[in-house]
Amino acid sequence: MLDRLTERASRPVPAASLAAFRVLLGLIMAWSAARFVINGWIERFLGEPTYFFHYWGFDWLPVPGVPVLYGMFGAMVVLGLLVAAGVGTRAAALGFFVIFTWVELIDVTNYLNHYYLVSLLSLLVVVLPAASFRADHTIPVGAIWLVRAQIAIVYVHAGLAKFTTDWLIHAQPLNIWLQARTHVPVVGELFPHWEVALAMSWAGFLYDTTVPIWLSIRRTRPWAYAVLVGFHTMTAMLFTIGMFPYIMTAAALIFFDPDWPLRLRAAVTRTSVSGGGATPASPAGNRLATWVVVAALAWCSVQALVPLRTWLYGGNVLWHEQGMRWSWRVMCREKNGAVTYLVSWGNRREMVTPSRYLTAHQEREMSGQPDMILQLAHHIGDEYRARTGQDVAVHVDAWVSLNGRPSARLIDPDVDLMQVRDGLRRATWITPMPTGPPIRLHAPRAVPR
Amino acid sequence: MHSPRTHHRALAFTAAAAITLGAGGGLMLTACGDDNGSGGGLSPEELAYRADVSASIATNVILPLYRTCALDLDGLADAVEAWAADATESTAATARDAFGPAWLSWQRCEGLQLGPATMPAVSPGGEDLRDEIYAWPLSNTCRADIATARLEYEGAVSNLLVSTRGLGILEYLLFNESTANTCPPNNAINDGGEWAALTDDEIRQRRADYAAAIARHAATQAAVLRDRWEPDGGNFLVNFTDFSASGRVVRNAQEALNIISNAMFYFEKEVKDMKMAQPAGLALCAAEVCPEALESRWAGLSAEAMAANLETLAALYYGDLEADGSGTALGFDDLLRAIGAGSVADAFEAGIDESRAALAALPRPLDADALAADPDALRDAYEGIRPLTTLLKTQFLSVLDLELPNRAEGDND
Repeated sequence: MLDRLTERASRPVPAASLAAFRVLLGLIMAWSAARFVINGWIERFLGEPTYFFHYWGFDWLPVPGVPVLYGMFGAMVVLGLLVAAGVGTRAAALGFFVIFTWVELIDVTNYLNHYYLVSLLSLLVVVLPAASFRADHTIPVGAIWLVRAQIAIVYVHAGLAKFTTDWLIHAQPLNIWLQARTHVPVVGELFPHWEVALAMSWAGFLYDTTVPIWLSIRRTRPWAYAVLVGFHTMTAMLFTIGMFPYIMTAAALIFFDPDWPLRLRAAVTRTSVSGGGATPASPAGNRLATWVVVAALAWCSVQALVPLRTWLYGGNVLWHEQGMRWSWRVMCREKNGAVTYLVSWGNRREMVTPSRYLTAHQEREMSGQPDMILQLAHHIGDEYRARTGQDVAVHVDAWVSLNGRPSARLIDPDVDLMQVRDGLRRATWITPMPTGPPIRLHAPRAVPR
Repeated sequence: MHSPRTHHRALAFTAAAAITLGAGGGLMLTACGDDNGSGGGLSPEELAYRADVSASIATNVILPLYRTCALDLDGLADAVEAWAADATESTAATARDAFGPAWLSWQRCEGLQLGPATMPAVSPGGEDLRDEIYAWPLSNTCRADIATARLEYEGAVSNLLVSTRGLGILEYLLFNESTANTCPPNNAINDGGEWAALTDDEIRQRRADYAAAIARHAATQAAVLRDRWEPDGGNFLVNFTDFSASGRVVRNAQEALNIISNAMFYFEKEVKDMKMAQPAGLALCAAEVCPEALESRWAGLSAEAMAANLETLAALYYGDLEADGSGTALGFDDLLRAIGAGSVADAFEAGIDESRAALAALPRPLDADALAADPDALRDAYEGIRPLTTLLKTQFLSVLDLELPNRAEGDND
């Protein structure tokens, strides 16, 4: 079976669609880096904080100073453009991957699903075969399958993340978000209606979970892509989700036939496609090595399974957040928290507000994520222990509202967090999610006074 | 038998139907209830509810408060100038009497951390006018004593450090009856004999003159701040009332409500974490209590100030200066109830009432003696207001899809 798969994956196809993917991704990579400079985000997200939340196992990672960071982002712009131009593609993509991933690993606060996706796609460019728009340039079709699989995994998991009663039955958090967007031209006036939020929730769920299928079928592909463009245009208009819509819109083009750029060029220039667009004959000796196919399968398996790890923890991932990251849980919760630490040593007790250590952006992100709350607790405890020379206990008063529910305790206030170590095991110090549905908002109705 | 081509078409239709008609179905559901020709069955008033709430709060709370502050600070400046012109016990007492109401009036405006009052990075349209009037917690009495000794106040007040002008230093100059200075012995005015060379009468007169200069400056700046909002002045008000007006810096009603809710966080950060937690010994205090962290150390009005700050939060919430829910002006309470979040409104209003009770229970004057006599009083009040601040930071923000103050603009998810 592996032999047959290898044979099929080795079939040569025009490299043009992979070249288009590389060009578009390179431009998006360059623009993503440039936005940080233009918007002043280097200072705000990486320069202003005095404390950084480390990823588990990455606390050794050095945090460059702001001038160095500017250099790194400048390098990423250049490397992105090199990838787009196809100049030293693999080296440029590797350089981009290393720098981008390094920057993203500096502070958990800045985790975004689409940043993770950029890291993955830039790494794929490193290992994918070089591609150009020459009509006679062929690559193994397996290279295209790999990119398609990666994009499909993102969509399907983004859809499965919405397979919850909050999303499908209660239409939350879309109900909350749409209520606040009545100013959007034309359709905004429909947004206050809960039914619209419900319909859009289902549409989003069905879209995410099935769009890879429709994109994979030639006859449905144009329709699916049109819907995809509409979907991502709408999300870009409604929400501040940065480059995600553009990345997905560009990357999904990989589902079209491998020679689509050649056909497009021929249509624009009114010429015929060189070689008639036919699939070139398989050159002898170009069969993929079996280990390459095995490695690709391993990559896809990891990508498919990692997002499912939250099922091992039980409970609601939106509440306890164990298994939340790296899982394509995009735009599926409205969560706000209030956190106060209580540090005690000897017969002394002191309240510590996170704002003493964090920027407002960091505090907002931390307040709903237990592992970050734990990490700051240890930082505070270590600091007080060093200052007082005594053993220190750190408890936390953490309240969270999820999808508009009444706020409830997120962390057991009786647990001394200094005695808790972060890890992959189920966190018993996180309280169970409160029962009861999320809030349901309706269109404004005049209230008698 | 269906051909593969037909089958694919059926698939295409299914995909398109599931995704596009899914949303469309929902829209049609709402359109079915359309009884007045407007979008989705909502009247123009209902569609503009958030905009109306924003306009109501700005018109019925923010602008009137700024008008009152400007008037009260002008009256205070008159009284302090009368003291400086004729520095007697009587004129000093009159000036002190004028200080309390004016200062508490400003404490109402102090809770309006939005627009021209703030730094540009804090709120759109920020001009940092607040620090010209009251720069708390920046206050440096030693530096003010140096300014007194060296007559620095005789130049332009705006050239003085913000920590040596405004209502904080005015309070010190008015209520500090000692003619000693607050600088350490090795400071130049003590080391070099500048302070010792002044007679008590000279010190009192200079303090009165200094006070008059900064009181007038504060009053002038309060008038400037009011005028920035006045419809026939800078008309900053329009940013909250008309989202189609040209030149506005606020883009839509949701952004306007977010700016207002940011201002409400003054009660969470400045009041809870600074005015209460620090003197109560709960935070950043090495002793059991820290009276030196009280906001009003000279006039003893710290408890009253916090109560005034709370009333501003309540007024912003109710959209009404009465802030008891009896008014007809639109506020967050109406918005929450109108969209089905009445339980949040109930909890918020209970939180306001609990906070009022907690602050009313504080000893007055809340000073070092009171803190020493009952160290738990301020801690109890702190606990008493926490349900409100927790609700503000969690469910209130969530339900209305508001953002925390100063959160960096960035991408999500």
